[in-house]
Amino acid sequence: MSAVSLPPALLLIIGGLLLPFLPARARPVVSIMLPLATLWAVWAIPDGPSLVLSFLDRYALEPVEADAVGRVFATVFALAGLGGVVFGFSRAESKETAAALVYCGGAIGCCFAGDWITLFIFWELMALASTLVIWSSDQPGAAKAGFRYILLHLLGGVILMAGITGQVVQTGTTDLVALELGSVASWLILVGLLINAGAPPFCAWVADAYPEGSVFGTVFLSAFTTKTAVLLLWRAFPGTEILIAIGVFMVIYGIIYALLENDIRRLLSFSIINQVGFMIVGIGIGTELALNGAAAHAFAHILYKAALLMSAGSVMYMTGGLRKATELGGLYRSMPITATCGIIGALAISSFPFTSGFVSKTMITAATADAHLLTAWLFLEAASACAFLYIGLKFPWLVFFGKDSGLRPPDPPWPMKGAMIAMAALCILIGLFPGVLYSMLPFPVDYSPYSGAKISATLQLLLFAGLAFWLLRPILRRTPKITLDMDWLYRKPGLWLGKAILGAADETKAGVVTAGMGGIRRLLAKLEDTHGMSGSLGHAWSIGGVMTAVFAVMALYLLNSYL
Amino acid sequence: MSETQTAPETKSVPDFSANRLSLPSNNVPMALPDEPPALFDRPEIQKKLTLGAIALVVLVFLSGFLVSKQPHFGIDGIPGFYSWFGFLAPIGIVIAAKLWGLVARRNEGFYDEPDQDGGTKA
Repeated sequence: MSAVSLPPALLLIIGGLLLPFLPARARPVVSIMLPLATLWAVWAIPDGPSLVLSFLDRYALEPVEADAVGRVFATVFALAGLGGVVFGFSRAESKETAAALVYCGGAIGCCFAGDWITLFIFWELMALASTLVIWSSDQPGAAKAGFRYILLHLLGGVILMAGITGQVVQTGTTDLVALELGSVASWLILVGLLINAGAPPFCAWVADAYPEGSVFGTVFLSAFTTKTAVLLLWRAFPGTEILIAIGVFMVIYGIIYALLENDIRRLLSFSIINQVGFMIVGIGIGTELALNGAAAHAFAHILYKAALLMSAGSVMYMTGGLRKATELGGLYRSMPITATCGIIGALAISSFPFTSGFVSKTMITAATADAHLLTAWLFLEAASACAFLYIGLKFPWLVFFGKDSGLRPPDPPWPMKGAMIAMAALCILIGLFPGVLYSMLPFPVDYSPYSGAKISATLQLLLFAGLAFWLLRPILRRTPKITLDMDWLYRKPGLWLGKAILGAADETKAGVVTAGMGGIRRLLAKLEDTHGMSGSLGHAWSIGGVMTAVFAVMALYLLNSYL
Repeated sequence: MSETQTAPETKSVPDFSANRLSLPSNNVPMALPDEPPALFDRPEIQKKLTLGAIALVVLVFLSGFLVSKQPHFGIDGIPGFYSWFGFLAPIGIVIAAKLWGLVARRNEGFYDEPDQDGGTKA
């Protein structure tokens, strides 16, 4: 067993756990070295299982089984981890960075997990580490949001574990392979994975938890959990038809909620669900082009989402924590670099030609058209047009242009600026040279995004959506309100139900205590009658009486030995 | 720790102020009264941008008739399909969003208001 056959994830996980114990001055350097070393390890391990362990003497664990799709995701996870650490360099000595590195390690562990048991371990590690990232935040809502987040993910974990257990019992193997959706176990696994993907009815946690991360933590949060779920759906349920419907729902849900949102980081969180919806549609279609598209889109998405959140984070950082669109506007005057990176990220998420989003998202829409799924295709195209409207235009418009807020914060300090520029540059580079991304994909790519028809179609779609945006500006006025979501169920009725149950339990307990205490008191009173100071068995006997009794017993004894 | 405490904040529970140390908060520079108009505030630039945008939209619309199309469905073969679809689809979705907003919009403090909807007190 050579050193490279250990899980690459261990570098980040062990490194992250040791980080707080290192001298404060060494921590920033180490925290940058860790994702770099991981990136190397991801490409150094050979394809196929390179480490096999025995589990319970019956099952084989394959903690490291590399393949192309795992490597695509692991690469972009490591890049996102690196970008996040650089972006948060000014406080790389904090516990948040340590938790984020462990989180990143958990995600990369999932990429190379060859069996369900290993997957589950890394999966839960991610849930714990990401909760710590949320709890490291400076946002006032972070403590409660993190608690809601961990509860939902523990629920998802339990459902996944139940499914895995059933699957292992039924098939006798822990191998992580594609499943047929039929048995209860396979449904449980699907539900467990979909909860982490932000699928309905569990969409709400993304926009509830992610915006409560710190300026730096949210960059990490946006990258790993949902995309790990996408990877696992990719592995376990390619071509599962129900995923097309789920994906289309997420695409539309993400847009509608983003359209109504005032908080810029919540807006970006809703767009995660929208974009993950595209990937899930690709997985549901299950052709080689669609699966390639889903993997490529995850890769592109993580990078432009990082650029967007770094841009929004820089605004927050330099304005002392402002994140409501109603409080911002006109910042391009003093933050040109942040504005440029934000616009590049926004163009990429809108899949504008010559950005990374264009070369990946059009693969999925093309696969939908090839499969002749008209309804899905219309929804995806409508969503693409809208994505440009609600985020490609709305985010830069509200923050950097639009009504001048009078704020003149400068661009952020260098490490933040550097990370942001690097992410934006990657968005453009992948858009200009898609071959680099395509060569990493699991299936050979016979697809060219840059044909006249495709560019013309996309530009028509986007520019006319822009025209619609211009005309609709008056009714897209921002209002400082929130939109209710499925989490209302457990935040309002769930809360009342919980309180009602607790109240009833309190009353029951009080009743039981009263009744029990009454019984005990009555018993004690009875005992007092017989065993008390004045009871027949308890009171003091006179010497004479005792002597008479002893005499009687001895007389009986004497009589007995004579007879 | 190289960070320094900035704003003297009152201690509340839970106290996250320790995490906020590196934020240059409460000191955001504001616009000066005699500030010259920024690039996109100048009328001549705005005029050029508007004309450029209109020209771009027209060119892109016309480009749809020049490229060779391979429609997968009947509908995407209609002349200028992507233009009018790109224009109408967002309007449809915005209307859907507005309708949903009528039902589901609440004040920002909705989840912090205690039991306003008749919840039971434990």
